[in-house]
Amino acid sequence: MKIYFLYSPDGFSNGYLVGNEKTREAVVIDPGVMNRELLEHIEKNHFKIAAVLVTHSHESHYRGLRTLLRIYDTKVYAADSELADKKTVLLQGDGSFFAAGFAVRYYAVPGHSPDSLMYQIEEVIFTGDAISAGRIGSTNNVYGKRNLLMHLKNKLLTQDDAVILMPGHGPPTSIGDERLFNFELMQSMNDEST
Amino acid sequence: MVCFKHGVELKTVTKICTLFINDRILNAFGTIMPGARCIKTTIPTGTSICSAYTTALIASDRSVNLYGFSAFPAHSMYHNPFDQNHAMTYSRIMFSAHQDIPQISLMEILATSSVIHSLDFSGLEFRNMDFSGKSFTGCRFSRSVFADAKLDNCRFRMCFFDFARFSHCSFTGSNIQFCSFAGAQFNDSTFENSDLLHDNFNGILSGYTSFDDSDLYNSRFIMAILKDTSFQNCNLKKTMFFQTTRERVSFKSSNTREAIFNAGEDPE
Repeated sequence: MKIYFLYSPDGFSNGYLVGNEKTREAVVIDPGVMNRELLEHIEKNHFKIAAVLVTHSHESHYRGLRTLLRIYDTKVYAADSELADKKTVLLQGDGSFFAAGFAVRYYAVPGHSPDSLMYQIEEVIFTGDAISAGRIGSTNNVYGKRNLLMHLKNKLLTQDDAVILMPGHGPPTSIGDERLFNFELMQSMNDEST
Repeated sequence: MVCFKHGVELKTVTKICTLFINDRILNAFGTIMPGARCIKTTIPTGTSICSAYTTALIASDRSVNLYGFSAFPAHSMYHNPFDQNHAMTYSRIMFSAHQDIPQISLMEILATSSVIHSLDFSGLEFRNMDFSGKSFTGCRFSRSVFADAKLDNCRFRMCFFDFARFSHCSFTGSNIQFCSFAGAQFNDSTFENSDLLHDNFNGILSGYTSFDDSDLYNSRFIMAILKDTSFQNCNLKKTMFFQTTRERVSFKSSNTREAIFNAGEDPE
């Protein structure tokens, strides 16, 4: 597995190209930008784009989708039925599917947005805006925050500390790091234990 | 819209402008698919134009009207640190236990290779070693110990130094991007004059350490304990300092207004 990080200076968001060197297929996660670097990574590695995975329908995470779909004919997976005028493969709840030779697991983590998803490929989880290094995703109200924390605890913190998190914004992190240095996550754990 | 989808038969050719593509000049270029939308955009000279296959540059010395290509202004490449030859990679090997590779072999690789990919050096000790000028991509150094190590002018991409310990180490002039140092300890170390973009320094314990003259764009120091640490003349745009404990920390000549501190907190 090869992961390429793509930074969008417009939305300050992270996108990723995940390539399978065996099948020469790849998935694009959150195409917030579609630029020359991404095209060169795809073409020079002779990757066939098998799927686009969108973590949630905020524009900074799929702004490059239209351009990408003009170039590559591929499926789009999201928890929203339509993105950038393209019908998606609708994902609801938790589950898994195969794309680019990878078993992709997805987890619903509503809170930051109702349609937030995390995607896991091997030991890497692409968290979108549900969680980033040291912070949980922004929410509009207490209910949303509680909902998000509940999903993160049940679906993220149950995994191994070494699992890498590739967030939608900011630097990479791991589950072990977030257990220790994510203030809001720690606070909610403490509240629960008392 | 011009379509570059693989295997699609091209239908109509529209003259656009002169383009250099793969060292050839094409006067007529671009194809409009039946039923597809045609867009017209004014592209400034020097803008990069992308197709699925190649990159072209407008050859004329003036702005031209271009039909059907995706064009990306130069600023969209700003802070995108990953050039085609040094793609950031992650590999399963990186997280597999390195007992298969004897420690002596790992050390030998470190000593003899200038470009190192996807290796797990977790838990190893590096004392009085000089890694200057080396390039590391997708490597793991979790809980490693670096003492009196020289890592000047190194290049790190997607490397993980979680809970590593650095004592009397130098990263001067390094280019470290999209890496994690979460929970690491730094004592009498320096990152001076380095590019430290999109890096995770959450929970670090830093003493007598300098980040002077460095670019810390979009990096995070959440819950870090910083003592006698210097951030002078740094770019701190979008750098987060939430929940940090700071003693004798200097931000002189740095753009703290663009950094993110706790609400109402005075950086100094």
